[in-house]
Amino acid sequence: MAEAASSTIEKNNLTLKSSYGDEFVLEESIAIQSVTIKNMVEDGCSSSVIPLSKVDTGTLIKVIEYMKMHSSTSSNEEEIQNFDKEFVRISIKTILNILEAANFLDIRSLLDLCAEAVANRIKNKTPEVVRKIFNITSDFTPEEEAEIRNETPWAFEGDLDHSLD
Amino acid sequence: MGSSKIGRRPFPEDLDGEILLRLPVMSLLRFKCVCKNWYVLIKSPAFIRKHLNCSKNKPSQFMIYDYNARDDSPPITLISENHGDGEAPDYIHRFKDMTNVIGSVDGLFLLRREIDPENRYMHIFAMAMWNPSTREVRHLPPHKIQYTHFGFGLDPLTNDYKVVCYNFHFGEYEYAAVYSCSTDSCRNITPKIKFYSYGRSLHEACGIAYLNGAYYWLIREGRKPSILSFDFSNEVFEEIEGPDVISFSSLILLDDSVALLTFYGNSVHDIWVMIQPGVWNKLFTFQNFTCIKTWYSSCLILATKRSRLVSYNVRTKKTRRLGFCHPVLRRCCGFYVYKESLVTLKRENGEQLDHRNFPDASFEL
Repeated sequence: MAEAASSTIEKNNLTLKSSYGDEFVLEESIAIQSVTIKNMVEDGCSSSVIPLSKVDTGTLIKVIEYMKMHSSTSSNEEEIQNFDKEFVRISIKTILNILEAANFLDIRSLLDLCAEAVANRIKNKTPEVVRKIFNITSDFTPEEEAEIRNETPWAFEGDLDHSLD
Repeated sequence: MGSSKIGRRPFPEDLDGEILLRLPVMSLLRFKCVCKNWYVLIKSPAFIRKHLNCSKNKPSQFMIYDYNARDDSPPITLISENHGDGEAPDYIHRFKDMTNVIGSVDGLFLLRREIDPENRYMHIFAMAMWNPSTREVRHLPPHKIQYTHFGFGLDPLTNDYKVVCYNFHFGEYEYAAVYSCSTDSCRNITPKIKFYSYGRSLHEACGIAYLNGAYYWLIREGRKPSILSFDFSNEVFEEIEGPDVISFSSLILLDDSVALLTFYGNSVHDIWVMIQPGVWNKLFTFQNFTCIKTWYSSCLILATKRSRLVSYNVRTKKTRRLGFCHPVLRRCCGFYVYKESLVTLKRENGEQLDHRNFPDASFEL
């Protein structure tokens, strides 16, 4: 590696493997933003490839993009804020995938960012649409649901968002 | 977007909670009917508390109470911080004959009105607690008294909201009535020390006066200030020595500290912060020429001549425009800052909530 030759300190690299089998090489200092990976490194599993069986390739690419930006010393706070804003401008389904990965990898700031973004996107939606997004089947009887709606009918009024994304 | 894959595997439940915690109250009231798991979660006291902590980082809500409102105009207007200028308010509200508002604690307000104001010898108050975010109201038992001061807050040991009415009549009695939401009853307690004497008077704080399980009032003896506190857990009053200043002052809560804002009459204000009981430090001095509406966290909330609201942060010395104006701000009005909450006021027997009126004056004296 040309870089290693010019640098006196050799950077430790880790290989992350997605559930589809794709491998990504990443500097250890960047990857350990994930507490899960950090623990693995500290337990001495870093020499081998780290299999992330719960994270698909598309999601892993996004997570790595996030970790790279957030460990970059050259970007200021404003740049990071703008990056975060752009980062979650994707489908709700994709944010939910990243949220799950952030939970599994234990990256608190990414989890907060995704949870906040999903909340913002669904706050004006109808319960029916929210069920579809979260793949939830209602276990209320129609009578029970009517009763709950009746507790605060005004929360169901107004211009609600019926879109799935 | 390819919606064919929207029918993904069920989302992990603990992550649902992470998202729900960040939703406004109105959305949560709507999403209660999504499924039983969400219903149970949104109603659980642990979630309600966590949601409250989470909303501390969210933009504030404002309540404007116009005590001179005509009969046909609503005296209460609720507006959120991001509200645009020409937009209609989020939610306007009318309580018949309400004369006073105290708040807010965990998104709750205490309202009161006098029943039979013609009676000059006995003041009888109807009181209610109100959560504007859930629109729940709980009417409290009427209270008859000569002079009184109110406070309310949370007893953190029992997670019970309590109202305290401090009552006195020179030379006759001095006691406090404490109402508990969980038992839905009142009990009287007699403070060990008498706070009233000739030349001493009790005053409400500017802004919120509840902090970590206690409520605070200002005692003025001439121009010398001291503090009266009431602890909601052990239900004990205490008088705390004020700073060594001779000036008119207002009690404020500077973030998580009891503090005094002094007025010298030349637009210069000092802020004295109580660093431990009875120990005070003068931390800030600043000048202000604008009408003070209220105090919130580390900010004075001011109304300009053009009815615009601005906040002045005494720590950062920064002035910030709050995004709306309201004609009533020019006049004398009550102005309150709050964070919305899911805290429920419902009685278990399912009280009929009446948003419009206080209860009738017809009760036994």
